[in-house]
Amino acid sequence: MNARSHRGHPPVIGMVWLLLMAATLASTWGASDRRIPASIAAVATLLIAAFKARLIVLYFMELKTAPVLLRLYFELWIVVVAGAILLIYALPPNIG
Amino acid sequence: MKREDKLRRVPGVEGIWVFIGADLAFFGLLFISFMLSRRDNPAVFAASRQTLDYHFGGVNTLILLTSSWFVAMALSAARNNRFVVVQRCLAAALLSGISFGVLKIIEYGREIGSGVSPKTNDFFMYYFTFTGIHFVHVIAGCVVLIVLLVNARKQSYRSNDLAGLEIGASYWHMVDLLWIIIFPLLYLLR
Repeated sequence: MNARSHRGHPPVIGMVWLLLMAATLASTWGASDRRIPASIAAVATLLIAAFKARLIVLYFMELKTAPVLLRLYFELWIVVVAGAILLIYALPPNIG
Repeated sequence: MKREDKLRRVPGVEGIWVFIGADLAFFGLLFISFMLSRRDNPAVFAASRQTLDYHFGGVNTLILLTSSWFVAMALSAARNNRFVVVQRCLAAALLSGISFGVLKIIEYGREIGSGVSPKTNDFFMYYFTFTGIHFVHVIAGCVVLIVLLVNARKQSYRSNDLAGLEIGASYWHMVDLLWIIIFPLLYLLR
């Protein structure tokens, strides 16, 4: 597909919306299941959130076809935010 | 026009992306600050999080994503000069945005009714700060959607004049994007 066909093409954004809904159902009502260990659920939930954020940035905000630096800023924001959250999550608690 | 269209381009105007980029950077720092505070008080944060009803947040996520999709569809329709579709999509996006707000108010009512406030502990300080600032973004977004709808009724947005619609759409997607991180951070992260 060329750059133009990505930009707001109804079947593409319809598919993106379906993926976003499915990912939300999986993280909200799937990964929150108490039988799933907290750390696995946390990693899954954050990776799903990062995936959703990227879909919004690329297809809804249409940055997939934006100048590279603009797209890069938003892609990096997702990586840095999700990465920092996961990193701090993985650190041992800071008690006393 | 056709040759230009195939090139990479900035949706709307550059200024809106400076604003969105700065807003996201600000929230990014708040998220990291939340995580550091969580690390200092794991028991308080865990107990407080469990008092939240994640069904509210989950349903609101679905609503906001759908609202964003309607806006993306409105933009797509405007590119093809399908004026009635543009109006319907924007009206649906606005209704979804209002639904998010109504649900959030009901949720706040229940929480405040159960006796919690930003002063309760650090978790709730962050909870009310994040969701409160986000709520202001939602209200501003609904105002933006009303303006877009009024303009769309005058058929102001057409394939060769989309900057206004693209600016409003980009802002509304940012409101969605922020919630995509705020929701799991506050409600889901065990």
